[in-house]
Amino acid sequence: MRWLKIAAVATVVVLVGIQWIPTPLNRGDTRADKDFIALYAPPARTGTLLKTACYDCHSNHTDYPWYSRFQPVAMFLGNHIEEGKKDLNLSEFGDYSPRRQRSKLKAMSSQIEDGAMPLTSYRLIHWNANLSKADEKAVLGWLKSEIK
Amino acid sequence: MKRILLTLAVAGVLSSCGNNDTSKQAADQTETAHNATEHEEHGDHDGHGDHVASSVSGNTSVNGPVRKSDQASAILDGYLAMKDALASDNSAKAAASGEMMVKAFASFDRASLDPKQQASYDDTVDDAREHAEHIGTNSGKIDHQREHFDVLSKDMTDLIAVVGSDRTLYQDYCPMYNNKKGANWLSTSKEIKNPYMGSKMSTCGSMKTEIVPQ
Repeated sequence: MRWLKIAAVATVVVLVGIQWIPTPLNRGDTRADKDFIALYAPPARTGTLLKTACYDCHSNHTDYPWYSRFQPVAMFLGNHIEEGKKDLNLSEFGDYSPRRQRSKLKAMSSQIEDGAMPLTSYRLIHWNANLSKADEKAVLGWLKSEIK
Repeated sequence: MKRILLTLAVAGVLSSCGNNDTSKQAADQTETAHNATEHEEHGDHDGHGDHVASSVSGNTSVNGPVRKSDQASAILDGYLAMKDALASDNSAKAAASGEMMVKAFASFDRASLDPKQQASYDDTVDDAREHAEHIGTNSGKIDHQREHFDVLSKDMTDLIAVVGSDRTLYQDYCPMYNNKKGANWLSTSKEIKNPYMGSKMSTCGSMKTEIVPQ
């Protein structure tokens, strides 16, 4: 019983303590001349879907849910965003060479097709990132039409 | 730019998949023909395979010969090891070859190229390096590795057009991969060992082009 109390207190101390670990907000440059949606001008619905399902981790601007400022959630998210942007940054899409843009488009389409993206953990929290079959078809159809 | 010595094996395409099943051969033949027209319509400008497809209808594109050069030999070693690993369904070995390629890119003597070659080299390698890296970090996900190998193979074909090759290469074609969109790969042997389908359909595919460095 005594150990249980100590463990509980220790957990609380750790949980409170880690709130001071800073995690920078993802608020970088979002310039229209480099932004994927601005450059490729997808149909409105597809653009909205890309914004809700991809941009949180694959751009320089994340719309954070309220609980995301608490640790350890903030660290977890921060890590995902960093990884996501390394592979694909839609805010800086214009900086990729034409060859890489084509590669990225192809990878986007196959990741969605394989169901690998959006991540399951992301979809569990962001229900609006759950693309319906029709939405998925629209996004994929458009992406493929852009892969020349 | 480069003249590829083609032994365009239409016959090879016909006899590609399922050597003992004639009805399937016929189907594959239509499929391949369909792919060829499709590529032409889209006017693709990156895949050299597409030029070959065009040459079926007489539009042979004029390319300069691939230079004889061992500059890219370490890169090719890595790529070919990756191709063999994927053909034998060995995801971990494919990943290791990806890392090999990344190292080979890093030690490539870029300064020996003229400025124009450097520009094409940079454009191709920026992309190729990323695919190699990604294949390297995705051990265990062989389907995903193959998706990237598809694009990497295109990059490699473009790369040797710029930096040359130290060995004769064969550009092979698998008409079935990626929902029958088809995909190319490079190999050093005439024997088909399909890296996209793996052991499941190892001999599916055909040799399209023989690249003899001069």
